[in-house]
Amino acid sequence: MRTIVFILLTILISCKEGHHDHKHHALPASAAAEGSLFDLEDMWTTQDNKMFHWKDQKGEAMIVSMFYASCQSVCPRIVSDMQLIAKKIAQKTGKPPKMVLVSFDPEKDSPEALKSYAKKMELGDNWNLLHGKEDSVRTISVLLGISYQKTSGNDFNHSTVISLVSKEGKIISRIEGVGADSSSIIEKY
Amino acid sequence: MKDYHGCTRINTDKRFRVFVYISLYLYICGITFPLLSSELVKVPAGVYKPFIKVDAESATKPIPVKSFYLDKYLVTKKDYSEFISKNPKWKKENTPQIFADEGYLDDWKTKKENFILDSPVTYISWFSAKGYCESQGKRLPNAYEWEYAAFIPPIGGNSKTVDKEIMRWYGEKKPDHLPSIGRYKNALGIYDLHGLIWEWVYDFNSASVTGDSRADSDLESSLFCGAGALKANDFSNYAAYMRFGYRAGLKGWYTGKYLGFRCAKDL
Repeated sequence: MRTIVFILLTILISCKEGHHDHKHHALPASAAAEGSLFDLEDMWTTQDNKMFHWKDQKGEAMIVSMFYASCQSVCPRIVSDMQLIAKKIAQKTGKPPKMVLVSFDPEKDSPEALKSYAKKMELGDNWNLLHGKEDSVRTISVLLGISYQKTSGNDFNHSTVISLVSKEGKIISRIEGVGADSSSIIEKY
Repeated sequence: MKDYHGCTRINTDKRFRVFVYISLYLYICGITFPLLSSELVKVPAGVYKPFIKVDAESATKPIPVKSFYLDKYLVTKKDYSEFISKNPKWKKENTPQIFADEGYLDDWKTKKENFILDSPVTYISWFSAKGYCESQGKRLPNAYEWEYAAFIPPIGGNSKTVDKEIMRWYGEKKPDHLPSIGRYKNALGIYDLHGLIWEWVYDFNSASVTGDSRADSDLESSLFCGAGALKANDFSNYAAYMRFGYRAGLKGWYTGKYLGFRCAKDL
């Protein structure tokens, strides 16, 4: 008898629906992302073999983009665009801003390879070239709104976006395309 | 041992009884929900012929697809409820907006009788879908893996059968409340790759439809070349093109009523 009661109770419990969250804000489904990059827990390595966590960057705004070292066409232009932005911000604030370049290519762009690239492009100490796991690269590309795809020839098709990330980790301005007008970034820095 | 009736007494040791009760309990939980929605199906290795070029050199070069596992069923509301109870950081109130927009789990406020537990979970972002798959030791499928599996027709069918199901779906009035999973089945036994919802893939941001053509090396031209290759009655390419366009417009934090997912796993 007790066994039968136990079995019946079990069936009842198994059939019970999960508790639903009834708190809800009535806003449209596809609003733009807000929130901080610092919620990302991924770990990265810089060209100097130092650990880089997004949340450790709190308190200082940064200019962020993505590239890969063996890119012949577009990426050198991204770097020179970023250098120009850095120069203008330094003129405005008296201090060069923090620059972050994330590599699409963790396979080839090891910290050592990133170090030689930084040397070749004459990038100063305010530049952080990041190496991370493939999954981290995909995640940050999604957050920054940068599309990319590896081609059969080991190159990458990718879009060009330079973003201004605030000291709270929020993306407050972004420009698309090579040679785009950077005034919104300079203004909002 | 035998009792005074000559019958063999069953073991009434307490530990044994507890063992029986627990086994019965687990068995009953299993038969109460017969749909093993996290069951994986092995997709054999093959080639997927994309409808657009990936790079300038190849003209719709076939992409070799390694064998992989794909979820037999879409992830259901029941699956996702269990995931959230074990991973409260993915509850709506705890999920940062950078990982899911305001629409996240939007239909979970719906009346109980309309909340069909074994319907696909939707109003899910890429980050939350990824989080779910990772919690199971799985991952999201790549676009070409998904397309490859989706191209496989039902048993006894062909590509026309697939087209028919997609056309039916395009033409139907979208339901207010999604029905149960387990409707359309392909020859591998994988359900609902067509006919129910759109699905997230891992590399949904592989290509943008309206990217800056100066920056995207030949991406726009390959897109237009692909579109130009569509023949008048080439519906399966048209459907692939629609999915491609849909994915290219997504952002990782987007959620939508008819956008859900399933997981994949490496061999």
